Amino acid sequence: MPKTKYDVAIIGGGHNGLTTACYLAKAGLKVAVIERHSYVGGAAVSRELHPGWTYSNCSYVCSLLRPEIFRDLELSKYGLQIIPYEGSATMLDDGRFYAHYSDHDLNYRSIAKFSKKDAEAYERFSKDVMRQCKIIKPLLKMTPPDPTSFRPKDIMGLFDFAKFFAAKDELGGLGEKEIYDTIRFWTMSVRDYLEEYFESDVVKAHMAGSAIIGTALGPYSPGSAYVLLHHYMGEVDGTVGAWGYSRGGMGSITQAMAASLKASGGDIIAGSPVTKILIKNNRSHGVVLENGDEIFADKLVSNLDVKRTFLKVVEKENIPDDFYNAVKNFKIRGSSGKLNIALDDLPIWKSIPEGDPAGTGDLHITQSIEEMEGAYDDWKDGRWSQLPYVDMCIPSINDPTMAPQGKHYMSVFVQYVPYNLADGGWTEEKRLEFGKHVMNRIGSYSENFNDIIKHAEIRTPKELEEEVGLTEGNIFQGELTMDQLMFNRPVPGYAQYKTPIKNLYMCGSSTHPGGGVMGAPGANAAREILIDLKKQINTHYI
Amino acid sequence: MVNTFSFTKPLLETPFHKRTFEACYNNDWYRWAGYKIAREYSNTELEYTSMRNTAGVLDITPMHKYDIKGNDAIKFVDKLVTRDVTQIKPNKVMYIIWCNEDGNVIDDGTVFCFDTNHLRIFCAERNLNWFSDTAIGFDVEVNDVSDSIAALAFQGPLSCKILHLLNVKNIENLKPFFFDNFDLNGSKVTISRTGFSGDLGYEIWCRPEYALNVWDSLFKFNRDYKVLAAGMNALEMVRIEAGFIQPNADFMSAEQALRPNRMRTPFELGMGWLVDLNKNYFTGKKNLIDLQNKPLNKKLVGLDIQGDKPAIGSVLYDKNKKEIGIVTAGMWSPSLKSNIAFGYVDNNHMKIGSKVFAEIYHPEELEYKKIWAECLVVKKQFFNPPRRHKVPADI
Amino acid sequence: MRIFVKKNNVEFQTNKTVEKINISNQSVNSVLLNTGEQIETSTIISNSDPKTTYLELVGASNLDTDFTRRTNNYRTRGTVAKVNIEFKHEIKIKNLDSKYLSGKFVYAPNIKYIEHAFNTNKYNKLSANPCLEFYINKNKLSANVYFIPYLRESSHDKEKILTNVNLILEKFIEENQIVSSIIETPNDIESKYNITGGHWSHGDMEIDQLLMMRPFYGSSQYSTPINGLYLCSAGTHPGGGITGINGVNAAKQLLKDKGNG
Repeated sequence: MPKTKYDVAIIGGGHNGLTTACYLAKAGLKVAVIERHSYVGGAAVSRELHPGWTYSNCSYVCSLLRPEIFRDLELSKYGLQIIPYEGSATMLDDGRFYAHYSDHDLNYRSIAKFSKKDAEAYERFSKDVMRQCKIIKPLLKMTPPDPTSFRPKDIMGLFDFAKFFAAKDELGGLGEKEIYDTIRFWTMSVRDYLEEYFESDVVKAHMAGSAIIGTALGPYSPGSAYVLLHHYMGEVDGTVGAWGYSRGGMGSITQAMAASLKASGGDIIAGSPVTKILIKNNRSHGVVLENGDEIFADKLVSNLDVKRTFLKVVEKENIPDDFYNAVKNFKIRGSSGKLNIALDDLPIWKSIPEGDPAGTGDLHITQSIEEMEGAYDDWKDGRWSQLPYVDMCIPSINDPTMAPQGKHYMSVFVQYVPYNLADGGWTEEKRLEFGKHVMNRIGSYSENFNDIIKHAEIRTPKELEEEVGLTEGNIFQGELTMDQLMFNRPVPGYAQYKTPIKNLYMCGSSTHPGGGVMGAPGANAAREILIDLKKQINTHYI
Repeated sequence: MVNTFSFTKPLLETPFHKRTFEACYNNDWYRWAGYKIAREYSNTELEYTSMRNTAGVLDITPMHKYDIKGNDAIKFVDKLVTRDVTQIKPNKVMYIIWCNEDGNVIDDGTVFCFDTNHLRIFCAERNLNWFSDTAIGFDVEVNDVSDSIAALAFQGPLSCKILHLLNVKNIENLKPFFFDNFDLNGSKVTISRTGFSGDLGYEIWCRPEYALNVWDSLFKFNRDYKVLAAGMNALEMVRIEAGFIQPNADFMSAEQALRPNRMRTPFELGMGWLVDLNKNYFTGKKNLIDLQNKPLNKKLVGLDIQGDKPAIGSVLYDKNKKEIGIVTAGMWSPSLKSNIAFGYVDNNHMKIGSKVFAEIYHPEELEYKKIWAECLVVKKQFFNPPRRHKVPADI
Repeated sequence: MRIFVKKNNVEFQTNKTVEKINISNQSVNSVLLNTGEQIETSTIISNSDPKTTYLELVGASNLDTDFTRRTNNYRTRGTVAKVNIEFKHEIKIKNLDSKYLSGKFVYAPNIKYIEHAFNTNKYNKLSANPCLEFYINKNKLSANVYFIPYLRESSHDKEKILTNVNLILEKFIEENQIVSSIIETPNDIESKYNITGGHWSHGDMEIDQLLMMRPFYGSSQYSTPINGLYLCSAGTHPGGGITGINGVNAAKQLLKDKGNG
């Protein structure tokens, strides 16, 4: 293969890498995305792992994808459609279920079945969370201020930060009290936060689910309330907090991005991983692939997580010690499992009646926040949870393209599963046992679940790491805790998508504003690179 | 009430639904606190006119009703609201508003005194959380009894006469803002001389099982005195004429506003007369004391607008075309033959008699006509006939 | 401290309980004692925990609902029990030179052990394997036992706690015949010292209850919504521990307000 020289090469074809590439290509740069698999997508993929079934085998629902990116990259033109869905439910052991509906009045009455006070408190809760979402929204698009000129020595730094943005926010007139609320929200445990509103166990448990998805925090851990916010701040067509399916699976998002990239003249080099970044005089100038190819580029952007980038790909001698140590200490703990199941039929639930729209959204299995915390205790001890928190959905109910007629695809997200098992690590046997354990729990809430399973893909954090490359299988490319957000993400002093190596940038979820199929890190990184190149681009996002 | 939960029925039906459903030819329903309430039965003009000419019947069951029981019942309400309620006596009704700690209004309503250990608050928004949190430290129990009481508003110049014809004893001597228990055609009811219409009128409260009898009774003399079921559109008209403001229409409830700068103090709403800063401590008092002598940034006023095109949603300007506020509610008043509205104006235009301008976009055959209309700042209470206050009332 | 304070002509009134802080026009005017006496004053500094100060002494009728809401949400559930044990013999620790006996002893074998001891506390249950922090004085031992939850709906099995503690001590103490043991759970600490939740620090020391957020919005910087009333307890910044800083800062704030800071 002849040596090709690019303006920018992006290492890793996940949704953020593709987003960065698209914006840079739109600005007229010669861009390539290098992907180790034969297909792009990272953790936003659609894969036929059982004939006839399409699995969104990593990420499974969409809300956070910034609409400006959707628009700028013309993703609709390249086939992307987001389908909103109705409702969600939490199933209880006693045969009852708590259902959440988009209809305001129905939702009120659904909560009132458990507590009238909670039904009313939900309005106040939604308003307060919505206010926080509105405060955070402008932050997503921002490159965090440089901590060397804005050192957050203590919580007062955060206070100023919040005040700075609040003043610019469309909310107008945010006072001292609201700033206090913001700081509390960002630091509290989700249990403490929810207890200020609700009395019913199931209502609290239902709300708390969003706060533990993908994180190695328990619902009693300070900082977990923020994770809830991270899952609420998305939107589907202006409905903040709503989630939808990507038609054809999550891969449709990255396939559309890839098509958009090609249309802008970008290249995708797939099939061989980057084994080395060529660095000379602290400047990167190209990469070497496993197949021996060398690709040269003026600027490189890593879509890999910060640990993989600097502990695996970049050679240690090229990195200053303090940066190396900070990267080593970056918390990126795997805590989630995933089952993708091909079903012969629709599951019949013991509690949720057929036709209830609540059954067509995401379904949770949990009894209380206490049970979820217990599940976390297991994780801390290196076991998968005895009573795992399960977040299931059946995209094929709403998306006709996912499974053959009359058949269904179910995505099961499981919290918590450790990356390392205390009793001697993962084996094939243990992986299957874990899958069985989860399916048994689901089966006990259903009349027919056990009989309709045709195929199941069982993924522990190990598989997630091996297949997608996420260190320890952490879905956010790093914990979403206060010490790893904003100007601290991923490393203080390097929160502006730059690295200690000149011409090497980062664009993955390890950077601000973090994980989720959002695209914001990728677009923010593209903006920084364009600023460095003194290039202008006229889009909605940048 | 048979109102079991079903995802196919997001809205509840009131105990009057059998009748309101029959009367609602237009099948035009409004959502009020989770209930189906007619927006327009057949003709809003006529429904409105019934309340000004004979009497109109409104299903107000969705009103929230909270029982306050316990030794501290009066102390609790006194801590809650801006008025001094310590002297409230059995059978008395008081109009009340309550604020949060910043002195921003949460809601308004009425409080009924059954005895010193038992009061009941009626209001438009849900307040169980706020009342329960206010009850911390008081010997009092707050219960939401909304679903167990059916309610009708019976408003209009002939309302007393018809109740009298129905042998409701001594109803003409019930004074405004009082209530009592009566027998209405065999049903036990509580009747208060209160209402949203700014006219002579009553509100009738009963157990759900009496609802249909009460409804039917009110229409019993329809051949002589045409009583109509009135929908929410007609209610909107009479309440504007009467000068009654509504949370989440004319101002955002302080418990519900997402944007802090959308909250309003009683002074800004022109409700300063309801704030007693010499009474015992109540939520918001500290801030209201600070605010009482400060100039207001904005104030909700009544507007008498040139021409006949309603100024709904209009922006208000001063004579130099500088934006000074917005209209929150507006209408052509059939009774006054005037174009009236409520609107926020800035500090320079709060005085009665000030002049401001409304930019009205009036739709005319697919095009908007832009009207620049002069508005006179007036009292919000546009309509207030003597018969409303007369005791004994006209029979 | 007491001697120094006395020297500066401060009067002590002991064996008296303040029942109520009397307030008029949002200002302090006196305190009512359990003896029926009233002490007139325009300034009060409360060393009671914030919840007790506001909900018991000041009373909800003098406070905004938003404020009582925040007071109610302030987290004050204690997690530590105090155990005093008297042994028959002077205490000797196995394999330890007696010259070290005057120091502090900690029993917390590893982080996992501590975490497990805390796990049970989260669910309001007793840990069979608690952590200990203790001091020895001849035949007496005084220990803090971690983690013993404050219970709202049930009561503690105190015998069980003592047994668990003794099982640990047995491993280290020679000739361990016990003469008597006394235990104070967070619930006992609450009733004995009038500290809501029996919390040593008058409230959880978590970020959202620290710094300018301690104890909560509207009550930080030692001031209160009531004119002339100040807080100086561990429920204010910087929280618990015998630092005295809370008291100094409260005094500073008061002097500043009076215009001679």
